[in-house]
Amino acid sequence: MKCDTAMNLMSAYIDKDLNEIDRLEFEKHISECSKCKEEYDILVDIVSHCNTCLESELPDGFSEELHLKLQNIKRPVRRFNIKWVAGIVAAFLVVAIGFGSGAFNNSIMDQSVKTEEIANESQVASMPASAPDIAYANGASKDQMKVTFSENRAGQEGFGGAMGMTMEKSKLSNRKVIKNGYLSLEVSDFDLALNEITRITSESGGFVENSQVDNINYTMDGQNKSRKNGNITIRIPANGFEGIFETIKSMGDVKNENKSGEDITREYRDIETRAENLKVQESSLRELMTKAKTVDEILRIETELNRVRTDIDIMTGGLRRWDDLVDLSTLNINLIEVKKEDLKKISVDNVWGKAYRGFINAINNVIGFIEASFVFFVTAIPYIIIIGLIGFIAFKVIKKNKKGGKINAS
Amino acid sequence: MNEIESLLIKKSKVGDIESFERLIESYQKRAYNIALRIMCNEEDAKDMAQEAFIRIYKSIKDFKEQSSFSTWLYRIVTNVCLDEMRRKKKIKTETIDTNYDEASCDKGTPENVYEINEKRQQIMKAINELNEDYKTVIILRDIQGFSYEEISNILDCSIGTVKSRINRGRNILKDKLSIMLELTNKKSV
Repeated sequence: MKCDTAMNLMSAYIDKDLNEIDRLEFEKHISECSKCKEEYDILVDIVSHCNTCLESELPDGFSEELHLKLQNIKRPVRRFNIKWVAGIVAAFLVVAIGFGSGAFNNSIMDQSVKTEEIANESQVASMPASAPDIAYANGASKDQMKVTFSENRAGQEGFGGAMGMTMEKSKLSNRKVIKNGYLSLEVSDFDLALNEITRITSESGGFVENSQVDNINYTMDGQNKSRKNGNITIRIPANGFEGIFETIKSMGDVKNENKSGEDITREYRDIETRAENLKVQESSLRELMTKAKTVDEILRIETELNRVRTDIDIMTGGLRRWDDLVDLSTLNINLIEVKKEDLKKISVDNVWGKAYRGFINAINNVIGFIEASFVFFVTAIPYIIIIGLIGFIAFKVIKKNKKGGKINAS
Repeated sequence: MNEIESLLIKKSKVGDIESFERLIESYQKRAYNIALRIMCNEEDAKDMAQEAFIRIYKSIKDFKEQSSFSTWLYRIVTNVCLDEMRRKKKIKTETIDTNYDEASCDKGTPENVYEINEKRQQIMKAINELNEDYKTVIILRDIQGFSYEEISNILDCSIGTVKSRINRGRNILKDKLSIMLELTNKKSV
């Protein structure tokens, strides 16, 4: 081996990153070449000095200071309106007061009817405009919808992968299924729909996990308008999942819906068994511990016990997490606001629509004219008779006078 | 990644400060030490470590759970520190506080404590004089003891790059320090 090669391998050798052959050759070279040996010693010296540097302790008050700083952060709750916060708080109050009231379903129906009525009267909130026209706004909202959808999918998959293990305690349900749902809705009044969803969620004993609302500005007929588009993730008790899914569905026009269930029964049985085995192991270790005599024995048992204990803890920690996922289903909702007045204006605005309307108008006019003429004629009959009579008599009188005049003259 | 950690991450994503603090508890010290080595000054290191944690807290929502949380955390810490160093270099207000590691290194026997500290200070100074790339890998590898793979994840470069940087960095260090070390070695003999 040449000195150059040895120099290059030196660092890898220190990190034990050499294969067997290189390692042996390097060691051989070092034992033969005093120059390289010297270099090697220096390098080892430097590295070992670095390695033995103890870690500095955190400065005093580090955690406290950080805690304060963290609390002062305005968390980037992506454009979270104060309205929603207020809405959620209000919803929780409602739940706190009215929890357990039997008229749950009825009240929902009433509320959603009200939602519709108010929606018809609602006016566009004035917002600074940026988007050029409605077509743009529509395109944007569609894109956004797709994006949300795929994100949700990814999120769910990540979710599934993350919960590698858990245990399950309930003896009644044999199957453990994690339910997920996705709904894309078009609603006429966004705020009411959102409040309604929040209310239903908390009334069912669930919670809003995430809520994001975007304002989309656009210009139509020279007016600046804005619509809202929101993504809400709610967690609701699994047994109420179907009902709530349907209720929310009925709040607007469904653009897209999707329900999925992930069966984790087999995985959790595995973990359950493993955890139980570990517990048995733990108790036998404890027994051993009482019999241990030398310090060495005690230490070894303790290490093993520690390992077992940690594993059990990890599993029981996972337990709550998985139970949580099974008990509370996840429902992602995408709300798109659609203004009724806008719909009317853009619905039949093509050439054929115009021609069709023109044609109908023309026919209506013609029919109207004929009708009016007929009515006029019928109404006029008495006058015509009277006028005709007068005219006739007058004609006769004039004729007679003329005749009489001629006779007199001759 | 263990279950408890991913549970804490999940909670932190919703904004639970307490969970977040529990999550970073075990990484704080090491993060601070990385910052300390890069910044070479306790005050700055503290600020940068806190800055990094705040940034982590803010962006934990974007954290993909496929990669390891610790590497992600250390990556942010290193990046925050390196950014700050670059900024400082521009303003040129850099002051090197060479006394910082006396307390941080172990003491050894009373006879050679001075020498060891002296030597260590020299080494630290030399590391500090390295260029940014070499300095970072040496800190991560030799002082913090990360593996090649971890370093490549933290710095977001290939393992090959990490290896060659370490090799190169160590050689530069060796060349810089050889005279000084030889002298001290001879003295101690």
